[in-house]
Amino acid sequence: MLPYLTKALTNLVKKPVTEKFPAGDPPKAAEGYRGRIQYDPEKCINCGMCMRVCAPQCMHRDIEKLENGDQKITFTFDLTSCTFCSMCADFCARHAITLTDDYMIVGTQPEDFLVTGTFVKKAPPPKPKFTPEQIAAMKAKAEAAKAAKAAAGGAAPKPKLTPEEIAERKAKAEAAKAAKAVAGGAAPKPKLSPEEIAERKAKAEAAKAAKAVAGGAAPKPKLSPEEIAERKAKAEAAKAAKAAASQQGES
Amino acid sequence: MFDKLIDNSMAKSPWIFHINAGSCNGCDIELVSVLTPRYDAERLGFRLTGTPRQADIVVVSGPITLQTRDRLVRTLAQVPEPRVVVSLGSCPRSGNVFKGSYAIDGPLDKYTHVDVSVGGCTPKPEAIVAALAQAAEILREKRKEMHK
Repeated sequence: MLPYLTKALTNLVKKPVTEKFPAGDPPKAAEGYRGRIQYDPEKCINCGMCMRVCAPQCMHRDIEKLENGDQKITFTFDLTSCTFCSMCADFCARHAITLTDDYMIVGTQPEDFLVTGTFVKKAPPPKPKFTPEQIAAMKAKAEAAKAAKAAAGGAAPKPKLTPEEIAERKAKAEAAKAAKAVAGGAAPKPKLSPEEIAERKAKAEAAKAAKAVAGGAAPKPKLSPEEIAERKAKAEAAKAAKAAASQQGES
Repeated sequence: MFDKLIDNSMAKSPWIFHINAGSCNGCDIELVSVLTPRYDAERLGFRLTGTPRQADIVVVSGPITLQTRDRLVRTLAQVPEPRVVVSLGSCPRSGNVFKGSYAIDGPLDKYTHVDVSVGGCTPKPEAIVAALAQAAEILREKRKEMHK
């Protein structure tokens, strides 16, 4: 009870908190307040990003074609549809849209709530059209300039060969190779055909067989162990006799 | 004889009835904050009533949803002439972000003649006070017309 009473008494003598508004000027909005939209048509390039990004789709665009290819573009912002989120101002590439701090958006007619702007977008200059002779002349001039630069410059670029030249060089190389083979040097081994190989094999086997037949007991006969011992003894006796004879001859 | 006196007295105390036709409540909060001591619309005579039959100014907020449409029309019919309809925020005028939705049925213009509109999402209380003052002016004109 008591704190209430003290509060009541202090408020009796304090200034009232009420804003004076309809009796005076409206107070200023906070910094960065997003109020009425301000559109600058001179900066607009008609990219349409603001229309794409607007959540309630409050923008309307009218394009009117003029005679010389220009376009007259009118943007209308409908503030009765606007959420004042400032996405259009954030996305505008040319900063043509700003949200001012005007919050007194009161009206009786729908026209009070429209913000419009009109600008003329000029058509680009027409591309110059060249005739085929002019194009050929320009190409020749460019190549001559390139050749001159190469001659003067030093590291000349490899000249491009035409297909005929390439074929010519190939034929020349093969002729030289054939001539070299014909003249001699390490003549390459002639490739034998399968019939020739079979022929030669048969000839060789025939010769071997003939040799075996003609030769007869040409292969060395196998000696029996007694004959081996006999021959060994004979050899040693001969050696001993030779040694005795040489000793006698010396002395 | 007392007509002029009565007219002047009634012009100085326009009573408000608020209808929420599907609003997100942002505008509703700003409206009732207008009646608090800081922005004080009550010094101009405004007062929130609980019944449409005693109201002079009808304040509508929200896009008109399908569920509230019939109730809105019935309630508006219960407000006696002369009456002023104020649309609060951008929803009643165009549907704002709910435009084209399956649950929304058109701007408030379809159902009644809208006298004053406050733009904004949500409008600042000072803007609402300015709109209400303008509505009181229109009400005074309408009452004068009625008694002619």
